Amino acid sequence: MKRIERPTPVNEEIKLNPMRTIMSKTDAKGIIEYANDYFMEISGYKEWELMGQPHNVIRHPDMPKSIFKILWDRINQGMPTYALVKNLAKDGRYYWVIAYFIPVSKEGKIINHYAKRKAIPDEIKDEITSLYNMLLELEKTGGMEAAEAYFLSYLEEQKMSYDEFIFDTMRLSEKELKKYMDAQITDESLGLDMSAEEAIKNSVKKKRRFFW
Amino acid sequence: MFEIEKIIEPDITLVCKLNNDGSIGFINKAYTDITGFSEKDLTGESHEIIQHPKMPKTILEQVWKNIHTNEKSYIIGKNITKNGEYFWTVADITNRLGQSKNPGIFIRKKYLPSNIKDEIAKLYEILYGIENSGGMEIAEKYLKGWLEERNSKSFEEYIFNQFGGEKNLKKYLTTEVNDKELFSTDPSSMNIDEIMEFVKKKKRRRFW
Ligand SMILES: Cc1cc2nc3c(=O)[nH]c(=O)nc-3n(C[C@H](O)[C@H](O)[C@H](O)COP(=O)(O)O)c2cc1C
Repeated sequence: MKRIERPTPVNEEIKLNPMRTIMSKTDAKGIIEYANDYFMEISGYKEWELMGQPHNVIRHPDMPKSIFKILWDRINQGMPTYALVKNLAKDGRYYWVIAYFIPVSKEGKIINHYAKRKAIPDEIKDEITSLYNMLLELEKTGGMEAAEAYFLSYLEEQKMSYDEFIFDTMRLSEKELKKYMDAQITDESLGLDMSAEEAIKNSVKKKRRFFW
Repeated sequence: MFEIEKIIEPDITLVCKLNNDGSIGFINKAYTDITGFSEKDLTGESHEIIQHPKMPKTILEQVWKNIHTNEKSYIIGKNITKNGEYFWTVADITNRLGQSKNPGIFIRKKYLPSNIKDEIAKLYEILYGIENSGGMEIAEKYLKGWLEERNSKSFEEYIFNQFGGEKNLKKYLTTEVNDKELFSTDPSSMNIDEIMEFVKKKKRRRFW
C-alpha cells in the first residue's frame, strides 16, 4: 500500500463545529480501520487514502512526541485517556481537538482503539500551545525523556494526576467533560456558528424541567 | 456508462431465479420490462450481467456466504439495464437449491427508498474505492466500523433497521409476489393445476 505523503503545514486553522464528533477506530497498533464522515470532511482525505494507514498521517509537527508516549503508555494498559491534540489536515491546515481514546480488549488482549474528538475553546489552545512549545524545545535539546520527565514533574508539583491535568485545563469536571464528548446532533448545520465555549455550556448544563 | 438512474415504481417486483452455478434460470416479465433485457439475453448467463460493475466485493462476498448458509438472505444492490442505466433495489434471496421441486436461488427485488439509497450509495462507493487501493481486508474492517457506528452487527441487521425491522421489510417485499408465487415463478416447472391456480389468481387481482 502507498505511503501517504505528509503535507507541509500552513498556519491556518480549520474551524470545527463544536456539536459534531470526529471519530476513528484503529487496530491495537494505531492502524486506521474506520473514520466517520466528519473525520473525512475535516481532514480532507478520502476513505481509500486513509484506511489501512497509521494514525500519524494526521500528526502535526507542533505536537510533542512525549504527549503521544504518555498516551500510548496509558492505552496500552487499557486505560481510556484524554489528550489535547493539534492535527494536520491534507491541505496543511491545522485543527485542535480534545480527544478521548478508548481501548477495547478481547480475552485480555487489546484488539482496537476508538477515538472521539471535539472542538476546544481558543483560550485553551493558547494555554496548551505554550506547554507544548516548551516540551518541543526540551525534546530538541534533551530528548523525549527530558520532556516527559519535565511534564511528569510539573504534574507532581501541581499534585495533579494526568486526568486531573486534562479536567483542569478544560475547566470541567470529569462528568461535564464526558457530557460534552457525548453531545451529538443530527442536523449537521446546527452548531456551525457556535463557539466551543457555548457548545460546552449547552451540553453541560443540567436540563431544566418545566412544569407548565 | 451507468451514469443515469432509472426510477422504478415501488409496486413493481422483479423476480429472478438462479441455478446452482449462479447462472440465470428465469426472470419475470417485470424484469424484462424494466431492464430492457430479453429473456434470451439473460437466461443461462451469469447473474453478474445484471449487476453494476462497481458493486463492492465486500458486500457481494458476504451475501454469497449468507446464501450458502441461510435459507433467506437480504441484499441492497445496484443493478443495470440493457441501455446502460442503473437502479437500486432491496432484495431477499431464498436458497431452495435443496428442493426436489423447482430448485434454485430465488431473488425478489424491489425499489429502494431514496433516504436509504443515499447513504448506501456513499458506502458502496467508499468500499469500492478501498477495495481497489488497500484491498478487501481493509474494506471489510471499514464496513465493520461503519456498521458499529450505526449500531448494527451485520449488514442485514442494518437493512432491517432501515425498514423498521425484518417484519416490515418482509411485508414490503411480499406485497405483490408472495413466497408461494415466488417459488413457482418458473413456468417451465409448473404442472397444469399450478398454472390454472396462477391464472385464476391473476384474474382475481384484476377485479379488485
Ligand atoms: C484510536 C487512535 C487515534 C489516534 N488519533 C490521533 C490523532 O488524531 N492525531 C495524532 O496525531 N495522533 C493520533 N493517534 C496517535 C498516533 O497513533 C501516533 O502515535 C501519533 O500521531 C504520533 O506519531 P508517532 O507515533 O509516529 O510519533 C491516535 C492513536 C489511536 C490509537
